[in-house]
Amino acid sequence: MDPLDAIRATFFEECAELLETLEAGLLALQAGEVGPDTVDGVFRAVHSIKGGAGAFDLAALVTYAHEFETALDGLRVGRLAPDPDVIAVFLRASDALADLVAAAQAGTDVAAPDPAELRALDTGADGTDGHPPGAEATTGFAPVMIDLGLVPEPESARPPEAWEILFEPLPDLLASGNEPLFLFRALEVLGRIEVECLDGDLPTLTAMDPRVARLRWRILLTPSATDLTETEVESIFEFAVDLCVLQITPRGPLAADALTPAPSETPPKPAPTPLRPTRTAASVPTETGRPVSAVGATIRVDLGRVDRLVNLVGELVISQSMLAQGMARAGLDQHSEAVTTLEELQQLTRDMQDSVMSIRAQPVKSLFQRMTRIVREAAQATAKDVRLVTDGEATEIDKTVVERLADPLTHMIRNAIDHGLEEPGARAAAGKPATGIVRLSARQQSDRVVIEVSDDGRGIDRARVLKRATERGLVPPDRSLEPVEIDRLLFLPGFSTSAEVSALSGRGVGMDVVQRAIRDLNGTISINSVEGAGCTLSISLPLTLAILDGMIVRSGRQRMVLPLSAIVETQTLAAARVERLGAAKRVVALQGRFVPLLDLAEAMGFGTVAPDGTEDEDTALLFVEPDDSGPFALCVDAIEAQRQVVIKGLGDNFGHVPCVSAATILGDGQVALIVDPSGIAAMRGLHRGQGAQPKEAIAV
Amino acid sequence: MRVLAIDDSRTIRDMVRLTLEREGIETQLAEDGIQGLEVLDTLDAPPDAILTDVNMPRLDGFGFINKVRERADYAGIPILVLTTESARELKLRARAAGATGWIVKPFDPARLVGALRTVTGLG
Repeated sequence: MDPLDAIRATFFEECAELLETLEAGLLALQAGEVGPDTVDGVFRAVHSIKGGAGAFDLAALVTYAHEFETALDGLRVGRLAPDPDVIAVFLRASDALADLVAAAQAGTDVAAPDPAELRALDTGADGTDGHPPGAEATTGFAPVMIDLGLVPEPESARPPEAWEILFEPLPDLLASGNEPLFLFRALEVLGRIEVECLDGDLPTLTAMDPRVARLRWRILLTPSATDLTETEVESIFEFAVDLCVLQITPRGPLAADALTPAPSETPPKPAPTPLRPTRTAASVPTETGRPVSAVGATIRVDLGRVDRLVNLVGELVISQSMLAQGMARAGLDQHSEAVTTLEELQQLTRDMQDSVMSIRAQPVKSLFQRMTRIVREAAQATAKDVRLVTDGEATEIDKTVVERLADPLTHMIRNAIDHGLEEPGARAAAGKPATGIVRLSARQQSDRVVIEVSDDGRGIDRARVLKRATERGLVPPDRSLEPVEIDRLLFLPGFSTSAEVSALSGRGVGMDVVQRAIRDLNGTISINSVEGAGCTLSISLPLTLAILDGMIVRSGRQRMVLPLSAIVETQTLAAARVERLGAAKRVVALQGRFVPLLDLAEAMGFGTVAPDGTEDEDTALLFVEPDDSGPFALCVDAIEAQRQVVIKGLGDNFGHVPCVSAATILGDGQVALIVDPSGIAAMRGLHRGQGAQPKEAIAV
Repeated sequence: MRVLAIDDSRTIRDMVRLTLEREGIETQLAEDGIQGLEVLDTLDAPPDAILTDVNMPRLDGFGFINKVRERADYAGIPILVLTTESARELKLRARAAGATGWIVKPFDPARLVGALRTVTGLG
C-alpha cells in the first residue's frame, strides 16, 4: 500500500476514535460532569480532526471543524456555559462532523453543514485563532520592521553577484535554540560564505553569560546560483528574524578584503566559535526507523497478526487434544508422569486460549456510545422525549462482533423508539413520565454475552401483530398462538415490508434481517414483551467467533458438529414417540406437539434414511429450533461428545455450502463439518417465513 | 539527523515520520509532552531537533518546551512548534516558552525538512 494511503486509513481510524471521545465528552458535559479535562478533551478531538483533515486537503471537513473548534473555544475559555441548549448544539455539530468524516472516507459529497448555529453560540469569539486555517501565510512571526533607509532594488535589476548580511542577534536568540553557526551552515548551502565576527561588545570572561548572545557577524555570501533572491537569503533567518537585527544588502563582485569594517571594530576573526558542542549525524548510532521505546500502556497491533495467533492457538488446542487421545490409546497409567504433565499442558493451553481471545475482546462501550446518536436522531424524528440508559459498557466481546452489532442494534433502538414508546400524550394518559426510557445493557453470562434493548413503552400489540401475520399468510387464519409465539412472528421475513415501515425505522429492514445478522454471529435473539409496560429484545452471543460450543454426532459414517445453541433437547429414538405420515415422512412428539423428523445424513445429502432395523439404542434425536423456523428433530446414529471446537472457515473456494456453516478439526485429526440447522430448515421448506409451515408441525 | 516528533494525533505522527524518514532523518515519536520527556530520557544522546504539537493532553507543547529548556543538557536543542494556529499570539507564546521556530500544519514536506536542516545546521 502507498504509505500515504496507509496514513489516510489511520486518519479515518483516528477520526472514529476522536468522534467517540467528542461525543462521550459532550454527553458527560450534558450530564453535568463539567471539568476542564472534559472540555479540553472535546476541544482537542475536534482540533485533531481538523489537523489531520488539513493534511489530506479535506477542505469541507477542515472548514466545519474549524467553526466547531472556534465555538468550543468559547466553552474552554469560559465565555460559554455548558448549558443544555449549548451542548445540544454541539451534539448536533458532532453528528454533522461525523457525517463529513464519513463522506470524506467514502469519497462522496455531502452538503456542507450550516455553521450558523455554532456561530450564534459564541458571538463574543474574537478568535484567538479566528482566521480560517491557511488564511495566513505559512511563514513565521510577523517580521520586525527595521527601517534601514535603503531603497529596495527594482525587481527587474540584474541579480547581484553577492549579498552582504549584517546579523546582530538580540540577547535572547540563543535561549530560543537558534544557533548562529547553524544558520551560517545553512547559508553555506546557498553559496560560498565569508564570515567576519564583530566581537567588540564582549564582556570580561567572569561577567560573561554564555546563554546571552553578544557577538555580531557580517557575512558575504557569493551564491552558487546566480538568481538567488533576497527572500531566499532572508528565509534562512526566518525563525531568528524577531530575535535579531538583520540587514541584507546586494553587492557587486567583491573581494573578501573589500568588506568594510566599522571604524570601532576590531579586526576580523576567522570564524565564530560555536557556543555549544555540536552533534553530527555521524556521532550517533544510526538506527533508522527504530520505533520509540514503548512508554504507553498500550500498543497497536495489526489485526492480521492477532488473528494468526488466534488461529495458531486453535491449532494448538487441536493437536493437544490429539495428543491426549493418542496417549489414552497407548494405555498409559493414569498416574504416570506423562499423563499428569499432559493435564498441566491442557490447563496451560486453555489459559492461553482465553488470553489470546481476550486480545480480540473489546468493551461494548464504543458501540453503546454510537447508539446515543441513533437515539438522539430517532427522538428528534419522532418528536418523542427519550433518554438512553446504558449499563455494562465494560462488558467485552470479540471485536468483529462489536463491529457487526452496530447495524442490528441501530435498528432495534429505532424500533423501540418508533414503535415501542408511546406518543407523549399517550404516556401521560398511562401515567408514565413524559420521557421514555430506552435501556441498552450488556452482561456476561458464563461464556456468552447478553445484550438487551428494552423500552418502557406500550409493549407489543399482539392482536395487531397476529392480524397482520394472518393477512400476510404467515399463520393459518384459524391458528391460535401463545403470546410468545405471536411475539416471535415479528422475526418472520415478510412480516414488515418497506412500504409500511415508517420513515424512521424503515429502510426496508425488518426484524428478520436483524435476526439473520445475529445468527451470523452464532447468536440468538429473543423477545419479551409486557403489554403496557414495554418490550425487551435480548441478544445472546458467544464471546468469540473462533470457538463454538458444539455437539459432536455420528451420522451416516460421518462425524458432524451441531452448534449447542441450536439444540433444544435430546432424546433417544427408543424413548421418542414417532409417527409416520405417509411413506416417507415422520414426525415426533416434542412437548405436546409434533415436529418433523429428519435424518441428518440424509438431510446433508450423504446417506439415506436408515431402515428401522438398523436403528439401535444409540440412535438419538436432537431437537433443534433455529431462530427463523419452527422446531424440528434430527435423527443421528449416536451422540459422541459435547465440546468446544475451533471454527475453521471453509475458505472461499467452496463458496456457499448449504447446511454447512464451517468446519473443524476433531481431536483425532479428522475434519468434521459444522452443521447449520437453519440451512436444513430452509432446504426442507420448514422456513416459517415462506409460509410453508408443514402441516405436520401444527399442534395436534 | 535525529528528530523527536511529538503530536497527539496518530495521523500527524505518521505523516511526520513518513516525511522525515524519506529524507533519511531518523525519527522518534511521542504522543504528548510527558511522553516526549520520557523518550528524551531514554535516548542515548539528545536528538538534533524536536518537533512538537501545541495542543496535547497531559503536557502541552509550551509546557514541554519549558521543561526541556530548564534542563542544561537540552537547553540548546532546536525546537520547532507544529501548529494549526497561525495567530501571532500563539507564536509569541511559543517564543516565550523557548521555541526555536514554528511550522504551520498542514505542513509542506519540503519546508519542514528545510526548516529542520536550517535550525540544526545539518544539510
